[in-house]
Amino acid sequence: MSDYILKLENLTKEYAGQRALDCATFDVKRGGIYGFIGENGAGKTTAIRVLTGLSKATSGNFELFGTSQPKEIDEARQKIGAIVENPILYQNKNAMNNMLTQGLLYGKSDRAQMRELLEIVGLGNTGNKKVRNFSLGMRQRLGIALALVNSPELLILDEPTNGLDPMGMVEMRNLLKSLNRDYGITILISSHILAELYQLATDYIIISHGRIIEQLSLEQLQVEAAGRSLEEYYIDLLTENTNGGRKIA
Amino acid sequence: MLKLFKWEFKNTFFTLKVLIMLLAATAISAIGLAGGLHSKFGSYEIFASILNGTMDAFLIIGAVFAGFSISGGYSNRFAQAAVLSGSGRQRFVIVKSVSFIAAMTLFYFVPLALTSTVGLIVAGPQALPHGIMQDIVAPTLLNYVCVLGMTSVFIAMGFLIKSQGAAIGINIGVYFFINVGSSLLFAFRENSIYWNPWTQYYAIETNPVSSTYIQAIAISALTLAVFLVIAFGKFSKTELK
Repeated sequence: MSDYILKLENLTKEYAGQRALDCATFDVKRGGIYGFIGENGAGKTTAIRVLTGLSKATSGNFELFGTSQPKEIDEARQKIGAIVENPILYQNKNAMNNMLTQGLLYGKSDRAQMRELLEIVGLGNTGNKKVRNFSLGMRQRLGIALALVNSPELLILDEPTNGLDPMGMVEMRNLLKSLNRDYGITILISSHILAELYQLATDYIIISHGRIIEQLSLEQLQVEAAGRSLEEYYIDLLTENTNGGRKIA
Repeated sequence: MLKLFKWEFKNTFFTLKVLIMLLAATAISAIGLAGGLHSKFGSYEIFASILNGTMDAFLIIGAVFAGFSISGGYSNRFAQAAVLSGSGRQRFVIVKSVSFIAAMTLFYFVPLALTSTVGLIVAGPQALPHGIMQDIVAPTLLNYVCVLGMTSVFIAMGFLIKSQGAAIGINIGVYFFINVGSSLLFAFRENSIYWNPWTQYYAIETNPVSSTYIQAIAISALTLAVFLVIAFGKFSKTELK
């Protein structure tokens, strides 16, 4: 089994001639928590949308679980759990019925397993409360539970802490750490809240203006940052790259 | 694919919208029954009146339901959920189209069965000139194939338009445009009813012979296939938000 779950090679996405993703090249190894960092409009969501199939790349390719064939990629996506922008929820159903409906897509109907997933994300006691009455934090946590229904090997989360209060952010961080540590789920999480990612990620992929300008591990980051905070390092890196991104092999 | 079917059918058929559509179709079909009974028609004429009412209802309901079911798949993000699950876009188009056709089948046969049964009980089945098979079952099935071909335009429109409300409005517009267009075409070229996909059931009524039936079935099936290809062509490239 390959160490790599995901490899992108020169992946490009254009919208009306504008490059939202510009020859993006990076990889994700099994077992890590990858922080995908970039300013608003940097191309994080575009990359995630292409990887999850919501959007088609203009050029370049990517390998997911060892395959890059379009038909096999669809099969490979069954090993991914994802929240892109906002979780897809059934507003008029309670948490358990959301789980059961989502389970149909993957042939999963075990209520005990669904209950366990709801317990993991802290929604074990929501009873018959309809999702439309959930708080933002509860919705995000339910989104993660839904993304876990298929027992994914890779969890892709697009800004999951957006709109959460400080307590919600801490809970989310602890939840993601536990999913990675206890269940071995590899996580790719995009965010522009760098302090939050610094406490969570084991690896970093930095994107700006559609180009990957750096990929490095936490250890490498600590060496390269040389005492600077992640924010300071990131801003310096962006300044260095204002005249064109550096492609990571 | 079976998993995707189960998920889609649960999301489509266990909703209040389907029940409302079914009630609306039955109510419009019942208007045909009431008209036939009021005019003291015989069984065959009552059934013809019901069939006409049901077909009118069917097209309007198809226009509205495609908005809810297919375009609604974009706005409630079910299309996104299916793609994220790795089910594949091609499979989603197939499953969504089958689900739409299944719903339309329900909206066609249930009202027709209910109102025809009442009509036949009141007027008496013995009054049918050629028997139940030739006078009721055969036209019901032939018209079903024709109207499925006609409503297939709404499948393609549903995939082309991402807003549920806009799709419903535009589909109703398309319905009227097709009606007016077909009438104008008929005014200039009478034989257009034999090759226009939206007038196949008139062709059957005008010239009820085997060759017309076969042609109507073929044109309707071809129309359905063409709109499914358009739907897939659109959905395979569309950006899912």
